[in-house]
Amino acid sequence: MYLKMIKNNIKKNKLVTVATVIFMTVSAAFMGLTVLLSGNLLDSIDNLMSEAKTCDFLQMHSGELDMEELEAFADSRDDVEDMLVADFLNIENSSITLNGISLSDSTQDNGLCVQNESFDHLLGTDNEILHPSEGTVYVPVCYKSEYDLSEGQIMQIGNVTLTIEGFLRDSQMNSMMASSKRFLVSPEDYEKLENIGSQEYLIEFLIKDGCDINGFATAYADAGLPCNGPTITAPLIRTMNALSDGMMILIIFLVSIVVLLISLICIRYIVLTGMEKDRKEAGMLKALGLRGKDIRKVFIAKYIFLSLSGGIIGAVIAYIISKPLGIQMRELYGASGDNSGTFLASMLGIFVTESIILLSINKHLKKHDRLSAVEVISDRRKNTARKKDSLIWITGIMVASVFLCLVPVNISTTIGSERFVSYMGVGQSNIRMDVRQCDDIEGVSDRLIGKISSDPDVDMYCLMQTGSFRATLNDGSNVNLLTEIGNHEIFPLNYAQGKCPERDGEIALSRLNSEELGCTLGDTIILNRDGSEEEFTVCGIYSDITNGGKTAKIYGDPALDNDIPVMWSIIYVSLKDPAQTDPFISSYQSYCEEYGNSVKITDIKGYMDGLYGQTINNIKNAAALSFAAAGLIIFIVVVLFVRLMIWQEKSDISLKKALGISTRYIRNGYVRRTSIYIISGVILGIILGIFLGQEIAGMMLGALGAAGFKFIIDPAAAFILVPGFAVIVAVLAVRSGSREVRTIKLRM
Amino acid sequence: MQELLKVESLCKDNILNNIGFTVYEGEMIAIMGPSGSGKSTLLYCVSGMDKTDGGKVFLGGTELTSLSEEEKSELRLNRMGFIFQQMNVLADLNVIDNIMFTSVYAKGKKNEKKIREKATGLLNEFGISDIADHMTNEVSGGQLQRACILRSLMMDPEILFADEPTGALNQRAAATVIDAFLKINRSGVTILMVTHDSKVALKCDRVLYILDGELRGELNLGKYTPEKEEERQQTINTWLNSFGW
Repeated sequence: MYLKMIKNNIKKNKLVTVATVIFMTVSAAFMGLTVLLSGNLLDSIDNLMSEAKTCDFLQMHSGELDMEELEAFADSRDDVEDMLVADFLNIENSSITLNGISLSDSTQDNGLCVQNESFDHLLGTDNEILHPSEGTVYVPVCYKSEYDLSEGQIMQIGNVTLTIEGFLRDSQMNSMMASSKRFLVSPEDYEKLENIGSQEYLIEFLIKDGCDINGFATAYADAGLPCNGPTITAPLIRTMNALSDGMMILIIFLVSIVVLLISLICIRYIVLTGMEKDRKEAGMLKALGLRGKDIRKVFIAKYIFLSLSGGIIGAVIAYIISKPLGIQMRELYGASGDNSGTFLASMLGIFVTESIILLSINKHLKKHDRLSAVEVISDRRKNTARKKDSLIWITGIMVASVFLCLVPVNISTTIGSERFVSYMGVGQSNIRMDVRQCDDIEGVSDRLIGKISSDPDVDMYCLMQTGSFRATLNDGSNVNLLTEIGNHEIFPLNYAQGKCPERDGEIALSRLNSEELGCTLGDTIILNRDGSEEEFTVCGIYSDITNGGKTAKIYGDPALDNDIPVMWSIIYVSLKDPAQTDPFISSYQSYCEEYGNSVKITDIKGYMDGLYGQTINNIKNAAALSFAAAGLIIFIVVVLFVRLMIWQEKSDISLKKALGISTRYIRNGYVRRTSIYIISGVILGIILGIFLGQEIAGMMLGALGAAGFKFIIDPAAAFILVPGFAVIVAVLAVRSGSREVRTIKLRM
Repeated sequence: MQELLKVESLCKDNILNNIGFTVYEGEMIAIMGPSGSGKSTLLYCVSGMDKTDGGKVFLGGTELTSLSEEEKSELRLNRMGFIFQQMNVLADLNVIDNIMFTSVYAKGKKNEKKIREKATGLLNEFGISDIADHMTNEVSGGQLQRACILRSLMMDPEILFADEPTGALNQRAAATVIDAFLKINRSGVTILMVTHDSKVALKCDRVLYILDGELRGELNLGKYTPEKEEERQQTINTWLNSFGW
């Protein structure tokens, strides 16, 4: 009998039923998609890291290496399960071509390696351990789509030609956010090419389960072992792997929450309007002796059926959409292992979403319980008009939909902006020159500074030098801090808290360092510089994705601080005419030719594109999905509400028609009446999207490394594209909904 | 005759004032009075649908006024039947499913077959079997009201309450509905109905007259027979005229 009721009710209320199912479907689809993608991502990364046996601690190093010393250290520690030193042959980017395309513009450090025996394996597309034959090479999978590569094509390194045998997954350096990429060759080819590049080492440790990686890192630094490159630990590798796709998933999650809220609002309206129509039936059932909860059962049966349908359709849609959205994920990290858990979790997510909707419907239907049978039967209560409600809901939906469109757009323009580097630990300049891994870092830096200072094209420049200092914290514990010395006011970062160090005795810490060391603003740290101890007060905390994210900055003139044990130098340069960046870089690259790989000159914009290109693409996908969802929601809700308004005003409309007022005029009246509500909704949506959106996006980005985040808004997108899109869809919906006017007959 | 419904000193806001009367098993009683006199309120109060301010109502020894809402619901479901002026039905069900709905609810889905047989029997008996599978918006007012009467009979009630059952019907349809009531009453079901129509009231055994919330008079007509219809009409007209009707 319930089924018959549902069937007949659906037949009679097609529009309302379709709208309800769409809300339930879209909510389920987004929630399912969020769970499916995040589950797959985490599964894939875990699977890859476990198959590849990723190390727990990685120290990059160039120069002399004492293997015996390292082995003795490893043997002395109970927490070390295994250790290896992997060779990495850093090749000058301009010496590499892939399928005829030079990598000279690449912002990555590209190099060769051979397969490791015990752990840190480089895997194939089926996660198998690769062993290239002589004359062949496996290329990082992230380059496959970037350079449109396929098996059998040629990779040229200097004069040596290698055939691309396939693509590899590198659990440590897969992400474009990892600054190095490893190409896998046979030991014979490695030997042949050894003279072309510069030798670097990846000193890797597997730590026993449950042991403290940070404690190990401190012990490693204290032991005075090779450490002139960045230190990276497994959690950071996992974060970097998850970052680009994780960003997209976070946005989809944000969208799914907003869509769920919109659905709850719209379904509430639909239920309340339906209840108004069903009031008499409910009252009659009460009079006949049905209890409140039994009456609710009669009415909720339909919603359970719709929710079930919406949940199933949503699950199918989520599954279908997850395929194209997960292409990059699968390519980079491989298929997830046994994904039945993820599937079940996504079903659970959909179930929870639908349950929330049904619980809210049940709550609204409880109003039937309070309904007095006598009131209904004797019709004592007047029908409440919901016209005003309809218009206010239109505003509400516009606010939510504009918010939904704007936040991903703003995140995308922010991350795509040149200024975003300053949130990530990089000074906001045009060009960055890194001097690393050579015997005379200070000498090379000085010569470059000499040339830059007399270059008429240069507007501003500054030299930063990084050294590792032993630091004593408030609690007396010791750590080694990678500390950058220079004038940090010239190309300032965005500080999440406090400010940059402006005078002696001030130190700024990266967020990771601040968290790990438990230091906040105002705390003191004692740095041991060349035997003497100096006290520094923490004056600022900033986000940093460079050098493993654990850095510090102090004020000083590198030229005067001759006692710094320099690990690397960075020179930031801004030009009077930023359009001259390319010729400037070319001329300095020629100038630095003699230093080989030691000097790397990067266009910051290119650097950001390389770093965040994937992430921005993913965010654009998520933004496109949000646009589609918002457009669909605006259209359905506005059509629905306009038709409900027309239904409520049926008698007025037929009277107007009888008086000779044209249908077109009446229809235009709805556009006029709704426009103010639509426009207010758009304006409110933009305000919320900018301010509340910034807070939410800040939380999301903070979790991924960029603390103290502020939107960098593209006015064309935020103030023209998004509102224009929302207004056009809304007006089209009003026009479409107002067609109902045509069907209303004249009053006789 | 045995007492079935006993009303003692019933009060409700300013609408009903100290009303008392008794309904005996097998009786068919009409409550009359001008608009706003409180007759519908009286019907809802004695059937437990509306709350009272004072007084007591007993149905077959059960004090209705002391029961909880849940208990009253159960009583209405199992021992009472209701017919309203507006033919309230579930718009998404057809006629026979509407008739069956409360019985299926009360007796469970497992008894649906028996319930359907009973509903079909009643539809045949009352001459509307042809509309059984029609949707409720496809049938006439008289047919729908008869369907509502059949719905109220499905649980074999001890008493039927009807509020202006012919109020929304034309004369022909009203006549078929009243015939149905007579038939039901002859089968032993007690009926208490509110009506404006003296033609309906004259078919009842007794008529109660209410004015300004007070019971002002009672006319005992005895069992209806078609032969005495004219005489009953005159008696009732004279009686109503005495109240300024």
